[in-house]
Amino acid sequence: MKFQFWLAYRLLVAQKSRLFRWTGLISLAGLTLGVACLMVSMAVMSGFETTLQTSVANITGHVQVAIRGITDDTVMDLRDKIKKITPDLQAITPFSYLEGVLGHEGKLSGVILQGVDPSTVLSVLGLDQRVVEGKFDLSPVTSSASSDLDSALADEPADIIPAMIGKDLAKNFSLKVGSRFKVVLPLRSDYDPSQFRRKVATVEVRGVLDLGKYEYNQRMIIVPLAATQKLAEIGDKFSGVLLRYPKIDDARARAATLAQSMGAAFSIRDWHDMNENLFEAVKIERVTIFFVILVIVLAAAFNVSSTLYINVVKRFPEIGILKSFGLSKKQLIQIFSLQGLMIGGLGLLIGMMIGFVLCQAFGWLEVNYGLIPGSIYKVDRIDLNIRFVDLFFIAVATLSISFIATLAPAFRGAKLSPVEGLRHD
Amino acid sequence: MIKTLITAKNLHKSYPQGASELAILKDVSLEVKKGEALSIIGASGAGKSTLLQIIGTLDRPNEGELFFEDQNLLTMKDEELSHFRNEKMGFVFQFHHLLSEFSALENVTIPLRVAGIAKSEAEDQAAELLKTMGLESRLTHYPSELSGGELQRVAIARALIRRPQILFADEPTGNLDSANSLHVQELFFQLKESFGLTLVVVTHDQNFARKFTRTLRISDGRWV
Repeated sequence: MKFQFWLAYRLLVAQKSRLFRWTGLISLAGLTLGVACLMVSMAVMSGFETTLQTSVANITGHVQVAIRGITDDTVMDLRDKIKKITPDLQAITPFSYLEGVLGHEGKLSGVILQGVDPSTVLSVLGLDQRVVEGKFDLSPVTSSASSDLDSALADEPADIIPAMIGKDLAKNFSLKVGSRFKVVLPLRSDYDPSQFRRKVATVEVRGVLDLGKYEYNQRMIIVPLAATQKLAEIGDKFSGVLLRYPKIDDARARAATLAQSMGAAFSIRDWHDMNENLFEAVKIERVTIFFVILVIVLAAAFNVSSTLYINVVKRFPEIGILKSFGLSKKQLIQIFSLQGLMIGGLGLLIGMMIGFVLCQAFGWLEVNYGLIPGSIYKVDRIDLNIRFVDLFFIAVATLSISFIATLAPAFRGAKLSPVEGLRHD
Repeated sequence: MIKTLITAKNLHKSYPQGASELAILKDVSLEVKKGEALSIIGASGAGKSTLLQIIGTLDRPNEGELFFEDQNLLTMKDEELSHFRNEKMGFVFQFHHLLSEFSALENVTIPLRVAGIAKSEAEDQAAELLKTMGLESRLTHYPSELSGGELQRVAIARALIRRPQILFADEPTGNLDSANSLHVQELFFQLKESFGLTLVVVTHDQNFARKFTRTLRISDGRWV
């Protein structure tokens, strides 16, 4: 094959082939742009998936074990039980959820109060990495920490709940670090289970979080677990525990193992299960986009094919000469196919370089001009992710298409008899 | 007894011309003995080049049989025939037909590289042969930088680099001035001796044809 490669290269770059003149350059440019588009779109989709994954993991952990039935298990009991089943458990933290309505300066919004254990939560969730204002601090409110005089007068400091809130919630209600607001919680009546009574909590903003996912940023309020337990009047009970494993990719397998071993009293879901529809949609979208943009590469490959066809016709005399000296049909097909692969390879290489530059530009534009409306895309920022597996599929698809595109001209050249070729000189 | 190298029987070649057919070769038979120097002469359009191309396997007859020793050349598959041509046959054309974007040395290495011989070894062999033809100073020159005589000598070197048993030449001196023509003629016979070649040459040059051990004349697709 060394000889075929040498001859393919020499005939391709030779002046007579004109590959690097206009027609060749145009077909190469088409292929290059197709590859660049494919690369950027795959980087965006992979980045979108990774951003979602990180956001979900930061707020829900790798695996969530929710207590479904009645259990007297403490967090330590659960930890021992889980550790026994999945020895690589890295960290565990209890949680509880309450739903309520935030009321502030005449505006209302449904919110979720997630109760977390301040001493262990950061070992499982990456909330501290998502602070955009203030700091991650859920320590009890003291009177000197109060900044809102009216609120301070209305509540005892011990009743004021410290909280970290989502950034859109902060924006919508003009809340800053130190601001206080009320949350109204519905609690089932002790006397009539069909009735609800309301409970009002005063919350103080300690920090603002960018939770990556629009829904979280708009609704999530992180508070100490003790505060939700007190508000819900459930003593030291909790909704469940959140778990962290060394690798997020192992979470699915660990969740399946736990589900098999822990029984019906627990509902076990991994980060993917908790957002299955979303991740499935992203996956389908990614595959669809790949094939849609691949059409650009396919169209460009037709250009390459026609350029090569012209090149083969121009090379009829050389084909005749080479055949008269024993070059076989098979060797000729190899030579012209290699030329297609060389053009495909060059297009792929330049396309990937352009794609890389475009990815960098996309990142810059995103930071400076906020390209992504969070309300539509669930996330308001994507860290573009150029994955090896995406590059591999782009390379395989591009080279395969380029190769197939060259077969027609290659067979045309191979079919030529030596005499026919020599007649063209 | 001298072996027969090429046996052609009842060759017929025609090309479609509108509704009818234009016959170029009409029932032509030929035997070429090993080591023989055969010239084929005839007027333009007599069919001599077509005959050479058919017995050289560059073209196929419509009818007839063609053997190289006892091998039927018309039943060979492309791969086998290409390999056979590369190994046993050499060709020199009226126009040198060198690849214009390759140097003299590279042009001569091509038949060797086609046969799978490594680049360095092919270059050594090609340089050696070009030196014997007085072209040692022209190895890296491109065809556009060579004279008519030099071009034809490079083409002859390319035809002989695989040490073929038979050399076919189609008007090898037809495009040369008289001095270069004589030089190339001499070279053919020198090489025939030193390579032990069988020589089949098509020419319209009567003086050149007379130097061969046998001369056949073709007219209107038939021997005369």
